[in-house]
Amino acid sequence: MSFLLSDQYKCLKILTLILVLTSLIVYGFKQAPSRIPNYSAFHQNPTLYLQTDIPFGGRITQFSSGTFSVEQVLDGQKENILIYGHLERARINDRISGVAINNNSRLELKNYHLSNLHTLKVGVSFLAFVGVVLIFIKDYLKFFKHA
Amino acid sequence: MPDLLTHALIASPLKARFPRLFSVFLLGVILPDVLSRTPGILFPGSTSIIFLNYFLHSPIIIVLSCLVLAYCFPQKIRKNFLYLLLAGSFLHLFLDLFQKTLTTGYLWFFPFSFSSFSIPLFWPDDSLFALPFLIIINIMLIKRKHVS
Repeated sequence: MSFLLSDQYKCLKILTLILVLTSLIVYGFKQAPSRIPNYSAFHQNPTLYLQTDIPFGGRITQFSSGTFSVEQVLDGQKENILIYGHLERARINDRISGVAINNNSRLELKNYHLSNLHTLKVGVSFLAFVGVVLIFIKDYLKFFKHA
Repeated sequence: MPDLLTHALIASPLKARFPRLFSVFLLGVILPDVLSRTPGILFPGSTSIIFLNYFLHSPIIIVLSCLVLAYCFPQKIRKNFLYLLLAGSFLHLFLDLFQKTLTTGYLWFFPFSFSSFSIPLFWPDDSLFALPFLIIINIMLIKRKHVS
């Protein structure tokens, strides 16, 4: 442990760590689409993911008998996804995250969660992030810089 | 994930244990979300970036990231930095373990396995309802400290 955390070959150790991290991330990106199928993968090849759970999420844009549409952002473009199923206590523009099963290229609702607190959560998290960074910078200048 | 303020407020009572290095612990507490959410903010709407949410929350990635961060600090205090960053990060992961997920949760065993598990107690957004209580508890703790 003392060698690992010493200044000896510091640059080499940092580069090795970054290389390992990059390899893991590349491996994750290569494996994830097949291991964790999402709507984008289903959209490209629906027959490949038959009877598979497909997650979706976005704003509800339309209701009709037994179906509803969700506006989801895919690679920067908004797309309406048609889901078969019934939602309780949902309104237009509510934010939904859910999972649907691919039944012969038809997405049938399996489970869902409605929440309109996402934007508030992001705002609160951003405030906390700024606060922690400021506390850290203050402590860094006070205690750690001259250690 | 619960919001970052909830994570930070849950960690706050531990300030008395290491007052000088508490900011490092807090940095560790927010680190997993900073790692996994920043790419999504920089490249919004990218479907492949969503995968980062899953595997950047895995313990192995967190440990390696903490090690890289620890090298940014002087050797004299590097060990303490690393331990506190790790402790903060693992407190974050422990809290994330209790959130409900609809499909795949965080990949705890990545890269060895893509399976995940959780102890579903609350939805990620539900943490906001706990915020007022956490703020009150933290204010009470601060007041008690001042009195004593």
